[in-house]
Amino acid sequence: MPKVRRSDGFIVPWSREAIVKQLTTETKLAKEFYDTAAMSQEEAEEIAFDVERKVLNLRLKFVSGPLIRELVNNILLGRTKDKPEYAVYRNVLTRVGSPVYDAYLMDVGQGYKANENANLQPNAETSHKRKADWVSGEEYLLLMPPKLADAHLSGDLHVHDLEYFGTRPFCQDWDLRYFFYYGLMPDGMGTRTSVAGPAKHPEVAILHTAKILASAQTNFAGGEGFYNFLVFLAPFMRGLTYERIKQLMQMMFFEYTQAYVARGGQLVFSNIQVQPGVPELWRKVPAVMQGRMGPDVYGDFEDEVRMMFRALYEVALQGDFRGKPFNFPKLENSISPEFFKPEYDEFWLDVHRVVAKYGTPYFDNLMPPYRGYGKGVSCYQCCAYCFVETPESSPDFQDKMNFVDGKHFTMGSWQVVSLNLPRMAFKANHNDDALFAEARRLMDLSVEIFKIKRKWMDLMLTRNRVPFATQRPIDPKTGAKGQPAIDFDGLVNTIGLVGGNEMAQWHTGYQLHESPEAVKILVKLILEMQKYRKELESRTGVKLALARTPAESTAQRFAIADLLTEAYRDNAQKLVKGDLAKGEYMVKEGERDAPVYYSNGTHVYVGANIDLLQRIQTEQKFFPLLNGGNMLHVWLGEASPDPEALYKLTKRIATQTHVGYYAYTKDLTVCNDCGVVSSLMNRTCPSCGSANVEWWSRVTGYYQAVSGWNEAKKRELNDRFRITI
Amino acid sequence: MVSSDTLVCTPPSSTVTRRIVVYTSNGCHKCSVLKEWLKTSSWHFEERSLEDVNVMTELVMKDIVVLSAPVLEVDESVYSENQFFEGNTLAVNRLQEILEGNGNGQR
Repeated sequence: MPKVRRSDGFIVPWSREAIVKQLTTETKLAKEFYDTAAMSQEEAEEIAFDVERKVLNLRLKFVSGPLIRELVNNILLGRTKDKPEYAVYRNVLTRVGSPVYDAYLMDVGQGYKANENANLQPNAETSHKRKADWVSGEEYLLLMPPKLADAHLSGDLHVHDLEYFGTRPFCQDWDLRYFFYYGLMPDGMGTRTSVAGPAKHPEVAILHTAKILASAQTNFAGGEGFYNFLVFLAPFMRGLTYERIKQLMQMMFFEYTQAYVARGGQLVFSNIQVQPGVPELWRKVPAVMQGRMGPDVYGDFEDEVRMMFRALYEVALQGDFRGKPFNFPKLENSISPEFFKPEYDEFWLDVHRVVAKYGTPYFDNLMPPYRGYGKGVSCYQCCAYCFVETPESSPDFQDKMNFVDGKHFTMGSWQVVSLNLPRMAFKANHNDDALFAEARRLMDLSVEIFKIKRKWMDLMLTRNRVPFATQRPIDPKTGAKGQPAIDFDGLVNTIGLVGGNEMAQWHTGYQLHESPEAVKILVKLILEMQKYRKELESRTGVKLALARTPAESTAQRFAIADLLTEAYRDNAQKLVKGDLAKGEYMVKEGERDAPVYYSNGTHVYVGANIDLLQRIQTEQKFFPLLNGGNMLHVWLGEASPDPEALYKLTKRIATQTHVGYYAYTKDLTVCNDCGVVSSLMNRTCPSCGSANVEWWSRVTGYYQAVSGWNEAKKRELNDRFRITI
Repeated sequence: MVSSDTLVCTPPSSTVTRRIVVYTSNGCHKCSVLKEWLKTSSWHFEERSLEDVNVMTELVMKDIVVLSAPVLEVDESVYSENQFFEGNTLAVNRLQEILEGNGNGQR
């Protein structure tokens, strides 16, 4: 018999027993994931004997472990007709990972999902991450019931961050008070890294915020953020001059945008919620710092919060050393009745100066009554997800407000699954009831996926694989174990909508901006889905939210999946946006990063030639309906918009519409030769004339260099209908 | 519950015809209070269920956001329950103003 070259790096003698052991051991996963009994010893021996005979016939000097495995799988597949459980065994016995050629392409920055996420940086860590992503993604699909895996692969729905499905929850908003009381343990255990006591100095407090997010990102797949960022930091700023505070804010920006520490050499995807004062809800709450609560209350730090807000925006306006904007942390400005008054005009003008120069800030509009301002805590975070905690949803709400026994707020999501709305319409064939039935079917599948996710996460929690999130630091006062950092029971599961515009277009013959009938069917579909969401929640106990997901690659993937599927191709050709001819050619050639897409969420088509008011009139209707979050994009088309005019527009949007979250996007050109940043997308640098330029703009919910965007998003950038203020 | 001034409510003017719609939800106590008062005061109204997606769709298309039931529509104006209830008590004077066309509702 030939010798065996094993994947563990050794050459060993042939062993039929090794195959038997592999079969009886590895098929135990069939019991765990498919409720199918593991292979018996007798069956394993029979298959191992067959494999040995096949290898003998090959007359080889050496045989590799992977080849033996393929022979095993080949035999199993040949017997599935008589023994269906062998198909399950094949799923758990097969290898996951890429062909050598694809691995090479990943090394050189090409190939598999090269531009799936614009936040991925062109570095060696990213090559490594993409290889790991390939292995993990395949593993999790193989360990899912085939109908769920096929729903994802065929493009009925999209399981987001599949590569992290079995190991991490999605996104999280953190309560800084927790760390200002207990201190910082980046490993979550205190045994693998140094442990810092609660910050005593402002510099340390700021540095801790950056390290909290970096540590958190190792435990979570999506964005990490802080609500009430300035308010909770304010006690550290007492007695500091404005110049000192400005220096600290500058340090914060650089700490957040220079550490390539997360998820394969990326920046942490960070958000901070900011207000120009202390919200009424928090004024009488004891401040937490230096491992103690009180005696001061947050209301005592109004001046510090105001100074921090001014300093934050002064630094943001300045940008980095070259004058580029800071793309992280995302500045989530809470617009609330108490701070949206004339005495705060100067603060908001500061914000709009940054909007006019870079477009980077975001607006979390809490003015509409449906947002329930003052009745609880909420945040918009990650790309545009909304989380809320109220006394009704959280029995410990008051204790959390007052940090009683270390209780605190944690808001986030387990997992996101997006649904392909245009395909729903294709299947429904203009029948409303069929459309709603298909939505319910996909929501059922989503819940099954969420349940599997939870099973994986329970396993991870048992094995202590997300130790930063589960940490229970020692209480500095009592010496007892403190509260866990994250309340996992409070996390929601998010169902996303992609292609609302094209769904309506197929169903009614009109796009959202063309007819109220199109808007109406999308409203009706979401209301039906919300009704079913409540039913599903009470039936299954799974917490659900409906949202517009960022869909950075999903809007493209669904369009390509429909063009690839014979049953939907003709329909999709009439609907997909972008460069259909080029897209179809690329898809036919086996390429997947093609310049075609569906409109995201409930957005009007980005290229619709309508004014902003019309766009808002349509899109505002969906904000109160999507409890998991939504976003309005205002695409600016002028080089130097007037900050005061922008502020006036913000006032109108905030006070006269239902829009709950929005941002102004301004395109920029960064010269790679002279470093000058200029407004709009220029072919050459207006300063030095170089053609070696990079464009910057907002992709879905964050700013990043356009060269890293996928082809669909690049095409969308080109299609955007921009306005002048 | 209704405030004591319901005992002296003014009957609707015979010269004014208003289109009144009461939007209700299941198990909503305030909805029952409002409907009872309208009946007692001889106002004719149509009841529509907020559980009905078609009804909700029409409201969303008019940019009406329903935070809680009941919702009152008088001619083209829509009023939320906090505009005619004080806590759990029906604020009859305010309701009468609304019914007489002097309210400040969403259009």
